[in-house]
Amino acid sequence: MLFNSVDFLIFFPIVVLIYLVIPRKLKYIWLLIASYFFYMSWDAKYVVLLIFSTVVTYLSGIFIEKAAGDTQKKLVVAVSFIANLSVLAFFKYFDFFLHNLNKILAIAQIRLIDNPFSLLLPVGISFYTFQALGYTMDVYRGKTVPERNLLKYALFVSFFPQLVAGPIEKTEHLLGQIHESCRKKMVSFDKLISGFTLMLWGLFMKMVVADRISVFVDGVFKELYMAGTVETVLAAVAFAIQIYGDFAGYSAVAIGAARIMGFDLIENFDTPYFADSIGDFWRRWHISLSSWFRDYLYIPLGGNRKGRLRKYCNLMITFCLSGLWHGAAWTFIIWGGIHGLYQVAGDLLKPVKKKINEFLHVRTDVFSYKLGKIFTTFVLVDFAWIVFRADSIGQLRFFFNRMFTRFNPWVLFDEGIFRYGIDRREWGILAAALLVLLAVDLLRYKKRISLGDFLIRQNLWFQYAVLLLLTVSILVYGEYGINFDSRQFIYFQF
Amino acid sequence: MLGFFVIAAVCLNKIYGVLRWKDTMGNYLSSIDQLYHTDENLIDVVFLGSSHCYYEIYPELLWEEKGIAGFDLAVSAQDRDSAYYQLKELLKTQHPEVVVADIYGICYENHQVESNVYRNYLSMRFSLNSIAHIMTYGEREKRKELLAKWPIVHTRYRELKEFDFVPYEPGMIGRGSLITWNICPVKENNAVNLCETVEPLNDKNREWVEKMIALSREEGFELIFSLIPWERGDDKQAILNGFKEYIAGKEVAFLDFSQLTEELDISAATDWTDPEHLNARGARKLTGYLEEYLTERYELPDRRGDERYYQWDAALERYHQIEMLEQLMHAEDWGEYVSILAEIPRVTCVLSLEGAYDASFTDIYSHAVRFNMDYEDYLSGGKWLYRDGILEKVCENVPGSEFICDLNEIDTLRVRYEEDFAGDNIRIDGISYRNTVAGLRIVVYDDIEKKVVSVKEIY
Repeated sequence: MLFNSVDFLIFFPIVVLIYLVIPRKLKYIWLLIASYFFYMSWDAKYVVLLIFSTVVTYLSGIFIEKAAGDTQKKLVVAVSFIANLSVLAFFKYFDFFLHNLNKILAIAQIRLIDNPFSLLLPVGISFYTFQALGYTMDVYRGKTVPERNLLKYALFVSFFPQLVAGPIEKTEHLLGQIHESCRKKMVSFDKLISGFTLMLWGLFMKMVVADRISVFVDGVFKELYMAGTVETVLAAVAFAIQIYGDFAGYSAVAIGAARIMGFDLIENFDTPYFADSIGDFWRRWHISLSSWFRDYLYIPLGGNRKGRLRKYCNLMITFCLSGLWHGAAWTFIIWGGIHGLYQVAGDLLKPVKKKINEFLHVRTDVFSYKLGKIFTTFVLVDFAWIVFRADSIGQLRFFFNRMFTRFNPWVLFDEGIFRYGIDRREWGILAAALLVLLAVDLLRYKKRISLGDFLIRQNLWFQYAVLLLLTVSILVYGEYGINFDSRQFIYFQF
Repeated sequence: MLGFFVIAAVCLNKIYGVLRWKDTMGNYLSSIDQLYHTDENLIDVVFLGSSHCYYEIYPELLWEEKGIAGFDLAVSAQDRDSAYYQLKELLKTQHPEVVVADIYGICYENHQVESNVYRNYLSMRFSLNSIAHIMTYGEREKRKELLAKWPIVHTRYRELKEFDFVPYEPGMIGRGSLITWNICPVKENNAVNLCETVEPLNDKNREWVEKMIALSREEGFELIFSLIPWERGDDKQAILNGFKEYIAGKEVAFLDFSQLTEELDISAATDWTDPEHLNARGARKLTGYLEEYLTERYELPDRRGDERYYQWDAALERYHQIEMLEQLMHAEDWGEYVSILAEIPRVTCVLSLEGAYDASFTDIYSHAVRFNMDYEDYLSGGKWLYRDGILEKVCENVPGSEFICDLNEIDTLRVRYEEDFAGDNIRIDGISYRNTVAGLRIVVYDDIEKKVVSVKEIY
């Protein structure tokens, strides 16, 4: 049940209406039922894995509390991690592992191993597994007390707005709100408006921007043999917008849906393409995952406390694993590795950059310097996105080859650019939508406020006008329906 | 928040009115739309069917000859369920005496063309009928989209035209038929299939026949099944034979036109517009037979003269207009052209005399006078509008003179004179129709279709 489906359009209002009218004590049970129904609408049998992860981590909390000493606690943590990560590894990485093993066997001229399984990646497994493991770690660290109520804990793991693609919630943040939901009164009007706005905004980003621009990106990657420098560079930029619109759009819908029911989920995106360094980018992009890796991997590995070399190693490990988390393919690992290298190189080159700036008398306190940094960061991030998007190493090499050959800017003027699936009218709609996206991001960047929060401070007529424009834009210009090959949110595959 | 939802509902309803499915392949013609524009309790005879029905049965002719208030409730490739539910929708407001249901739909289990799914399933207004209709659709996944409608129709923003914003007159006055004089010679007896194989009716077809019979008893109309001629293979004929066998024991009439092509005198050379459909010549013969058949068996009232039936009058006028426009296209000389044009209803003619036309070897005035132009006016030149037999001079051939008028809510006419043959002299909706030589320029604008249909120059 995608957020941009007719099913969700029916499901969500029913869930909300019932949630708002039932007694407070039953609210979390209703949400749990709705969440499991939501999850099972994809593939009911994989609910077993969700239950498994829930029960294992729930018990881990209880056992950690009861454990006699630190060794026993660590043992419980290890069991919880091994159990959960084994399931994740099996379903997500078995095919990848076997594929690579067979490549090695082929080189060694040893008989290849047939894949005994036909595995489909259970939707959201990477997200809820990490959220549940975060709970185990938080209990171990004493940051939270173990949850006794299994149903409330099950809701924490399976809360449907963020179940299949995050944001990956922190224990004390979401579990606390689940407890609170049994006590608090009705959801405020402001929250309803703000949540509804965020949902519409998310759908706008996904359906009007991301899905429309994806037609061009897919067109270029599919017809790469026709493309030259201009098309590939445009496709690279377009993919950066696509994945942002897609994932930040999903997060906005998730946060908005939760807010309508009175829950505040953590922000997952904070104008990432206004970042002025790679480190800054990762503080703005997929914030919940970055902070998970920081808190539960990078810092336990020693972070930056054990010397420079160790710090660089930790960075590379963290980013490569982050890449692997995104998908079972070398391109994802390379993508993560590139970001790790960016961080290491950035740190190493800091003194050099400083000297160059001094030597060239570059003013660092002016707009142009900041703009230059933002532009450079975007170029670096976008370069890595190409690796992320490529279907294979071969395609990646071909893409880079075309990026630096066949420079033909006339495709912008002789209608050659329309060969990739988007005609003049669609480019026009896209351009208008991008301007809106830019305006909203600028609002957030400058005023530090989300569209939802901005809107609730405005007069009613303005609120209605914006909501109406978003609704009409989505319904008319959104990419959905029978004639459209409705694509899932990109991050669902992770 | 409630306020927002009310405003949003109103706005979205307006936008839906623009985007909603309109039969864009058939020039915005939709018989369901025409039905919705028809007042209650007017239709006496309903012809239910596919394109065979709307190409081959002209209610306009039944009206002209006998004053029978007939109506084609016809959709391209109308399937069984669509026929049933569209008829039910009609029965909400009409109480026909006779329903003639074509059985083309029993030959196909699925639609062959995607757009025909939309034609059949999206044209009805939202109602219990439309919901029940869509729930019969084979592909479960598609039902949600068909029910919601927006997932399908929203992409029409790419093809919107003027008639999505303003009413299309034939969509209101039409009685379901599609009139064409196009000729496509076919092989002799193309609609006759002598295959004798009988394929027993399948469950769905039997169920449909029984439902139709039950509905006729429930609503009190006479049901006649019909088979309108079309070129078909043995497999389809076997199904039709199965149908004949199935209804043989039932007290329902069956009119098999495909067995009557000789009796109807259908010509393979002139009466078809394609191998599947008759043209207006063929339709006149088939409709004539139907008229005899109906009047012999039923006491259908003559409704002519009743003001409530203005749409039938308008449809007949439209029929004659199309017929005369067809003749106009094939006029062999200027004299014939002008004679026909002077009589065509619902057209606006722009006449323009420029250049040294009085020096022409042709007697141009002999043609101009057919529009009641007097000789002095003729000599001074200028621009005229000719409508409903009235000629009005609107612009002199004096530099700087100009006349502008809205032909309707879509098109604007501007005539002016700067100099002979200047590009701006005659423009309709921005397109130039200026004189190109010294003589009488005639621009014919169809007031119903709202477009220029003919341009002629007499020199």
